[in-house]
Amino acid sequence: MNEDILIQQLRNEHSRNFAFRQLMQQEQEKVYRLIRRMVIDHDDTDDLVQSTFIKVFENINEFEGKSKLSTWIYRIAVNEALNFLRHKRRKLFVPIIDVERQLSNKIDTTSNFNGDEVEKKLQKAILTLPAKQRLVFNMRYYENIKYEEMSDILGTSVGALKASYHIAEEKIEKILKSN
Amino acid sequence: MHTSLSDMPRKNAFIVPEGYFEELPTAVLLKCSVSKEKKEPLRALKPLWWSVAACSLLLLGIWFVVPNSTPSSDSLLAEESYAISELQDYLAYYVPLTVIEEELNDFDMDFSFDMDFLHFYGEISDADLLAYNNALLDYLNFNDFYED
Repeated sequence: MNEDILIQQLRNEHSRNFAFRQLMQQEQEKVYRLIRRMVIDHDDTDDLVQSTFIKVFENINEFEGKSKLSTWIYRIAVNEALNFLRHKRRKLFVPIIDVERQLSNKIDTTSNFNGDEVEKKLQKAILTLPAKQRLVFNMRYYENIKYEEMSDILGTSVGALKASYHIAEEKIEKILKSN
Repeated sequence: MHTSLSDMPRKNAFIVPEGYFEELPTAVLLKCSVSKEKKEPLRALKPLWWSVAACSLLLLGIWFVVPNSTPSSDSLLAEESYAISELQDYLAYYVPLTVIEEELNDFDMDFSFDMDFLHFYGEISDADLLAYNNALLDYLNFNDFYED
């Protein structure tokens, strides 16, 4: 469906729910994966995905159409994920490394992860990256999002994103080659 | 064993509970309608707004009514003149007596009775009290007290 028509339908009270279901079916899996790779736990991801789409629903009239609708949704999702991690740090009064260690431990303990040892090692290596660098890596490596779109989502220049991805890749390679 | 990113398959190892994505839109829409209802209390606040409006009107009414119940300029003048006469009475009777009493004490005179006390209980008339005061003042040459 054409994005403009979808937006019109989302802003119309009568077609809103139908259009919103369509929008969710289009975007929910990508949003879920993006958040899940950041917060690891399914329940936390579920909360954040829901709050992302609730914000989309409530603020659709604020969407100015300067970017694609999906870009706007990912931006909300990214903010939700980063805020969640920030609050978790504040709540636990722990340094950044400990939160990431907790997430890393979850990969070992959760039943919702079906990767082999190499996959576990990769996910743990990704968790050693700073949150924003991790986002850049996941968006590029797993979702194959173009740097230009990433720039719109994260509000960072394309050059900085490329550099960030390159640094992240090197760090991960280094960890994978160790042991 | 893969030791390089380029060798590794890009798979999604995170499992999603079965049926999760089918149920998610309904769950979100349900919460959207709940949060919409939560915002509705603006309607529930309407009685409160009516109360605020009523109180404001009441205060406005008081604002207009109260000035009308304040004394007129004539009554203010009357009150003012009454206050002045009260002050004059005080100056004429009480203050001189007190001062005179202190002065008399300073002169080591026996002036133990309280003229004001006697005046209060009607044992001495106004005229007598005034005459007495004047006599004492003359005696003490204390007339400067009355000067502005």
